[in-house]
Amino acid sequence: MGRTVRQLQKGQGLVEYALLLVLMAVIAILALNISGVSTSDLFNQIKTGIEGEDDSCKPLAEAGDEWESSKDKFWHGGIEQQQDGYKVCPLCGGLLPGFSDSDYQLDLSGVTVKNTNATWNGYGITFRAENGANGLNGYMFEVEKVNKNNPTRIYFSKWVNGVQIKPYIKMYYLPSDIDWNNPPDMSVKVEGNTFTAYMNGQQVLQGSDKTYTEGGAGVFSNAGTELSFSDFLINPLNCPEVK
Amino acid sequence: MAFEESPDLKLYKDGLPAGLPDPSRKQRRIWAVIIGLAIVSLLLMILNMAQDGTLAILAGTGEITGIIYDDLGNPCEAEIFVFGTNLSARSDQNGYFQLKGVPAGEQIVIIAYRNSGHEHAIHVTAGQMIDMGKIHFQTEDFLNGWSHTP
Repeated sequence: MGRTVRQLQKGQGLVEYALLLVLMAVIAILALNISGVSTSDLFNQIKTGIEGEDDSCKPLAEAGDEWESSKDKFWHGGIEQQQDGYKVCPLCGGLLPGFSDSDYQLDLSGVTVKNTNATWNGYGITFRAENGANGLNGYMFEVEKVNKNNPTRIYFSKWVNGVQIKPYIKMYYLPSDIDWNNPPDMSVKVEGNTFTAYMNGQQVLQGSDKTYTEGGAGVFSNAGTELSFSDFLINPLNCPEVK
Repeated sequence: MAFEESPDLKLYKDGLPAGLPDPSRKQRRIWAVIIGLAIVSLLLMILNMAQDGTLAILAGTGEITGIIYDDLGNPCEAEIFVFGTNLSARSDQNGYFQLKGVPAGEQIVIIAYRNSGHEHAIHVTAGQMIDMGKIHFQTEDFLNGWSHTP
């Protein structure tokens, strides 16, 4: 025999509740998408919240044996691991392999530089970046000494298809109490559309752009400098202190 | 409901008592909420499509042209591409370029020469040609460690 009217009504009720749930989930996902909040970030925040604060301050990624070389028609090479750290040849750079996220804090430490030219000395950090089919896409924070006659400058710039966009997102000069000959540790906090750079713990520059919302991170050197560093860490935001 | 808790049949000797809840009323309310949520999700979907450019593709495409000059004022062979798309073109010896099939709406056009680039925000209208005019690079554009020699 067929099902009773009550059974049919009960089944229909379940379909309606399922529809309600699906629509609410769709609205939540679309609303997050429109507001620019990454669902994976949100999931990670909830996850780390449940797991406890200690875990949330573990590095998301750190320098290891391998780097994704930026070598192409423009960049001359990647990053080599040394006994006591890493070496970046002039106009070379690399990204930490397999890492991509939206908000994080980057810490480059133990920096020494050897200037191979009298001009275009400098180094920096790439973030929300990827080695695309046509070249580098993403952002850079750089400290750059053009030559002995010009003050050392610091700036955020944007790269699209291996091309550096001018004018820079934000540029300023290296504070006088930071000695170029004793290269500072460098940190960049990437949060939403705002990027904040620190040198030896001191905030030196803040810029903002909304082109790229996520991507990897890495280290690079300018055309006249061979860079060495001991460590490069990608940390979650809001950990105890920016070093 | 347990059998013992069932209402007595005497209660119904004169037919169904007045004021019993109408089961279809609750159902109607649920459907009103479902329709409301469906409308909200449709609006959000349209907003989402407008944000990621899908709506612009549906709206049609236009064309952009312009002439590019280097920092010395000479026409140059530069690369032109539209951010977030695979569209690109190269200007000819006279610096002239034409790029067809650009999705309608707000677009960012990048003009690149010797590894430096300029961003231009333009509004593309379906079926129309936008003339970006004369675009000049400046000496400062090539003040970097790699493109100071052509």
